[in-house]
Amino acid sequence: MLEVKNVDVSYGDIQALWDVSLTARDEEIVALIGANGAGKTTVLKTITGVLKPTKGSVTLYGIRSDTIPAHKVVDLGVSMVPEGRRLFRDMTVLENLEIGGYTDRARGAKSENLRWISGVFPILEQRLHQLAGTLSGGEQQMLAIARSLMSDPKTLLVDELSLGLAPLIVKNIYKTLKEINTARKMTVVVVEQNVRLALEIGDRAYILENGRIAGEGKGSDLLNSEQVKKAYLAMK
Amino acid sequence: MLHFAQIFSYGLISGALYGLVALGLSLVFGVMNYLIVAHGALIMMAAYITFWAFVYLKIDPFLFIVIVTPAFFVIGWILFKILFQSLMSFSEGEKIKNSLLISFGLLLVFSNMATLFWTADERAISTAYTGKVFDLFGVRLPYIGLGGVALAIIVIIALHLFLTRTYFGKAIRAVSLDHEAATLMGINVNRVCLVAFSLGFALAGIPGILTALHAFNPTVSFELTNKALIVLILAGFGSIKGVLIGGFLLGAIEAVGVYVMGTPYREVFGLILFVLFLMFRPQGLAGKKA
Amino acid sequence: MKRIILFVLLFACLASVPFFTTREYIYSLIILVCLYTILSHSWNLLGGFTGQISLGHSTFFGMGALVFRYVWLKGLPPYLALGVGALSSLVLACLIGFPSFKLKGHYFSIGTLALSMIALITIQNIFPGVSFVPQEYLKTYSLLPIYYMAIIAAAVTIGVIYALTRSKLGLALISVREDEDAAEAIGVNTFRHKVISMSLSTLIAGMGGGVFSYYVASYYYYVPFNLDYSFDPVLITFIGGPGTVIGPVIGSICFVLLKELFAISLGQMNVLIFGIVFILTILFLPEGLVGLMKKLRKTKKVQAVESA
Repeated sequence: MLEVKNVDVSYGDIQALWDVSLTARDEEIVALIGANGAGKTTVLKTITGVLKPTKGSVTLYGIRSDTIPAHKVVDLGVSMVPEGRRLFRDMTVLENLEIGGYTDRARGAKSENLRWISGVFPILEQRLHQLAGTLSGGEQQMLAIARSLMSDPKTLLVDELSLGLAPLIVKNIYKTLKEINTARKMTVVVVEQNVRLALEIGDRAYILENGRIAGEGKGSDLLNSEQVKKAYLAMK
Repeated sequence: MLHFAQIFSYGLISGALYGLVALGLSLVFGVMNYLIVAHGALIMMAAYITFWAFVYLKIDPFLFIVIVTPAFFVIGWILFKILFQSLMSFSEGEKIKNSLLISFGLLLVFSNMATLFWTADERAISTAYTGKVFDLFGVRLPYIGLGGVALAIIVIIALHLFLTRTYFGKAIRAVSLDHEAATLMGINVNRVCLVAFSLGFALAGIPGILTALHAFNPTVSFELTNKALIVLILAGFGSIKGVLIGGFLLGAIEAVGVYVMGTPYREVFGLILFVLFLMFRPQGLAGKKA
Repeated sequence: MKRIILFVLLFACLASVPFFTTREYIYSLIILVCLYTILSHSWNLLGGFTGQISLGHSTFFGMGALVFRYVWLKGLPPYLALGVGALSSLVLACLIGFPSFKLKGHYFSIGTLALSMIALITIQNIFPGVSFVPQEYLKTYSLLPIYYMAIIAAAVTIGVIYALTRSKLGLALISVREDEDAAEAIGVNTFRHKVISMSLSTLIAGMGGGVFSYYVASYYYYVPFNLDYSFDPVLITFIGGPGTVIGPVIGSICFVLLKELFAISLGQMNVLIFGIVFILTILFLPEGLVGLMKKLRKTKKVQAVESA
């Protein structure tokens, strides 16, 4: 279980998050929606320890993640697929996956995890020795997710996976995420600009506005709420 | 024709040395954007240590590599912690600038220290095989030169294997591509940089022993740093593969320079090529902009 | 205003030194301080104010020396020769320096380093000998005119730098140093300003070279092109205080005094010490000695206020 409690986060002197709290319970899919610049990526970065909160706490499976070095967070069972994928473009698909499974725990399970990934994203198996930078957009996104899955996380954070991808591909990837969520009992937190998509896939969702939580609820409820309809779905 | 072949062979032999000289500098810059211009001074120090080891302990320079390399690894470790670790949190531009300045200071400190301790007299190790040459169809190939080429090839292959076949080596490559993504994978970026930096220092030991086999003195610090920078630009910052090619290219251009204008202008050709690359193709042959 | 008066007074003192002593040793020391002040300020203009760290200023210093020597020995009066020498450096900069401004940051630094090495090697090969002064001149040789040229040139340099700090041009240069992209965004033509900065810088460096040539009776032609003259101003300026008027002066004084202290020892002990101090400065004292003095004055003020 993932708990963010009352965090304030700043980039140097510029505050980005005010008193943000959210939880993701086991096997849930939680969506985080909001306009550009609302702070969604900042929230994810704080969960993974890349950013440290100036106030509040982040607890992953009972352990505080905001007080440990960022690279140790993967060991707690949380893995993030960053915005823009951030693949190691000059390394092969296989090497990217291997780096995904860098932690000691993951190294031991490398062949198992590779087999699992090949089942989930068969196209990657065909491209194992290609340079990551030569893959198509959709394939790159799949690789980015696969890379994060190599550490066999209990919670997967996915930041803006739809950016730059065709709608059909996006739908398929979300479908795959839902399958992983069910099959592996993996908690998933998605940050998604496409509000409809996010609310359709999320069991629960949080609305982030200007660095503050502006709303929370079940995906389906929010989809029908007046607030969301007006602000994000451009409906009157 | 033979004359040209002779000069060209010397050029290639120099090229292997230049590649080795630039290797450490290239690795460190690629991984963490530190431009350690003191690299030439490190090589110079290694040369002196090798020289004295030969004079007093009679240790053959090629064998001495096994002592110099780990010793310099440790020195690099210490200097990183004392001088360079604090720069890790800076922006890319600031990292380059400050590491450039600090290592510039080190360059001056080391070269003046060497002059102080050991004078500006030229030294050179003379072993049993120093003058010997291998005759290939009339072209004289000195044993030492061939040894240098062999060494360069071995080191590059070893480094390549390390970077592509080991987890830590792959981590080093990942860090050089994207610090933040590497952290997300569970890689301790600080630790990787520390090791890579120390490795860069260790890689100064090997061209150091080769330098000791030729005439050298403290000013070689500047000459070697210069060669390393030229090769770096030719190869493309951060490209390990390009370094050997860049080295050979420089060696070849210098050979052409000697053939066309005579020995005193050997350096100038290389330098002009350097400036041309800087102006028109700063990303070097490998094509990645620094 | 106070500072200008102090400066004029100081100049007057220096100008009257020959009336109090004829010891050539004192003249030499002051000449050297002036020389390094001029060279360091020329670097400071480009590096300290505009943020372009040149590692090859010896190119322009040497050029000034070379041309000064030539026209002076041909009969041109020294101050005119000085002007010609300075201009020649500017011309050299136009030919090779400005294209180098396409280079950003560290590329510029290593590019200028390469340039200085090309210059050094070329001179070593084209003019391998020693430059002598004619015998008749040696008969009437006196340090006095050299002394006056040195302090006048240094005064002019400091004056120019001081005027710069109070001008819009100076502010523009600093904005280029701080953040080139931001400067462009607010309308500063960074390329033009870098060119202006480099022009002034090389002019002053060339002038310094001329003073060098006037001072040193005979030397190997390549000596003013030595890389030391590229590196010393960098050390001096950063330790003294980059981007300030007094910084390079203080740095030069310390540098020359250290040099005298260790004149007997092997190698360049003063460069060694300066190198160590330089590293410490980069790490802990980015504003140099000037910054340190400012801090001390601030803490004194705070203490005064607190005890009041």
